[in-house]
Amino acid sequence: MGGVTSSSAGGGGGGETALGDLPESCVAEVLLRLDPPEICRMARLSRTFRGAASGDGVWEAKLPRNYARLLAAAADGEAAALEAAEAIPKKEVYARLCRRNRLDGGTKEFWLDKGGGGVCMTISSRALSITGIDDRRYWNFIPNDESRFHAVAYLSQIWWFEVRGEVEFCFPEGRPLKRLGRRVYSSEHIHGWDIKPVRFQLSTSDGQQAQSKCYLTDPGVWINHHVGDFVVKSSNEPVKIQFAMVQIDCTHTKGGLCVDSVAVKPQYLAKKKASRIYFLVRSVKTVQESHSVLSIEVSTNK
Amino acid sequence: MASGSGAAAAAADAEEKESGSRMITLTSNEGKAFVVTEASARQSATIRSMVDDGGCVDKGFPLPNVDSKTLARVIQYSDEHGNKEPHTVDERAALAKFDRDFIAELDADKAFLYDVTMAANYLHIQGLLALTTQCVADTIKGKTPEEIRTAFGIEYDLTAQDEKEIKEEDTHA
Repeated sequence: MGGVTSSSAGGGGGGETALGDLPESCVAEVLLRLDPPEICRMARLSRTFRGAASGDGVWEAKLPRNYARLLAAAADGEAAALEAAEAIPKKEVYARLCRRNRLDGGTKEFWLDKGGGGVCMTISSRALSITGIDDRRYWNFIPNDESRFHAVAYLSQIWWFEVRGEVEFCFPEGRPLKRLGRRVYSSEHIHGWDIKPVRFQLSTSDGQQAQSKCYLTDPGVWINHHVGDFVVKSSNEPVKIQFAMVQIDCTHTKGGLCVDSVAVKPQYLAKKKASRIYFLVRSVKTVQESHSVLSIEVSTNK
Repeated sequence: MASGSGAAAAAADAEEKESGSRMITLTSNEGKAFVVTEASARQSATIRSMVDDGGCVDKGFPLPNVDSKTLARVIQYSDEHGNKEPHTVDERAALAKFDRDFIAELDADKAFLYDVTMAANYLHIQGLLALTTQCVADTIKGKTPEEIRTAFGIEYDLTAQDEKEIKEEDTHA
């Protein structure tokens, strides 16, 4: 069976057509249907696969639609970056966006998830507005190696527990999941969290809202707390997301909690179209003392 | 592409196009002629643009890159997708089933699968190309380059320069 005797393939000497006979343009079509780590792996197969795996067409399809904006954000808004986006090979653009790109003086980082191409973000406790943060009787920033930002906000004790934050960003449509992660550190002073639930709230600049509540139990374990769902409607319009974690019943104090960061990442697992937000709460134990880590996750569905 | 049809002929063409009854001849590289409806032929973006340019419709389209066996199979696909437009849920389901059966048969005969893939690529039949390349992608997914080379007889032809680049990629990863 001669099949398609492509002139470039040279006919293959009468043998059956093999995978290696596919021309680069066909291979590129095949690679489009693989995820980025697979594409990189296929680049080690042969010259033809290698050529196809570095093609702009393949990578452009894998990049978020607003990649030029993301690249500009990664370059901290340098004007040259927007123009440069067109000049850089798309594979390189993808690689750059997969790095941890710092925003707002390093208090936020965003990156592309290597596998799925969704945008992830993490926000330091330093970028959050925490009621009473300046009063060292209540709150302190303490060094923590586990934190991506090397420091967490530690709550000794307080009546009015309120942690808020916001982020304005051009998240790509549909794909990204915003995950606001707060890590909360609590020593042997963990108290007050079992009396009333903590409330998590989320709202977006285009009017979407979500909230949930839960008791912070299980010191020593990480727990995810889902806040709500939201949809990214346009990747070219920055959307402002505000999130909060509050427990303001002043009849009792609560403390022994560490707030580390808020994370935003794509929710590929959920099948719904909406974006998903949840708070991740966890408490962990260290050798010296127990502490709980609380995070908030905001996610958007694919 | 060739032009040369007079205004009257062009008008007649347009009329025929509207009626949808025009037939088009595709010729394989073995010289075998296949007569298909225009709707079927228009599944191919390559042929569609040649038809829309006017000209060589009457003479038919020689396809020097496609053999008879492959062309027959490609036409089977484009007939199914071009001649019927699915309106109901049932019709859509029937078409989806056709696609599933179509690709299952090709999947069992890899050499033929690659032939049809190349023909779909050459003729720019998007739906068929998506179907076949997805099948190829599923075949190689999750396998290491070594496994794929062994399983599918791909020659290792990377140059020293390529290997150097791969090493660098590894250190960055």
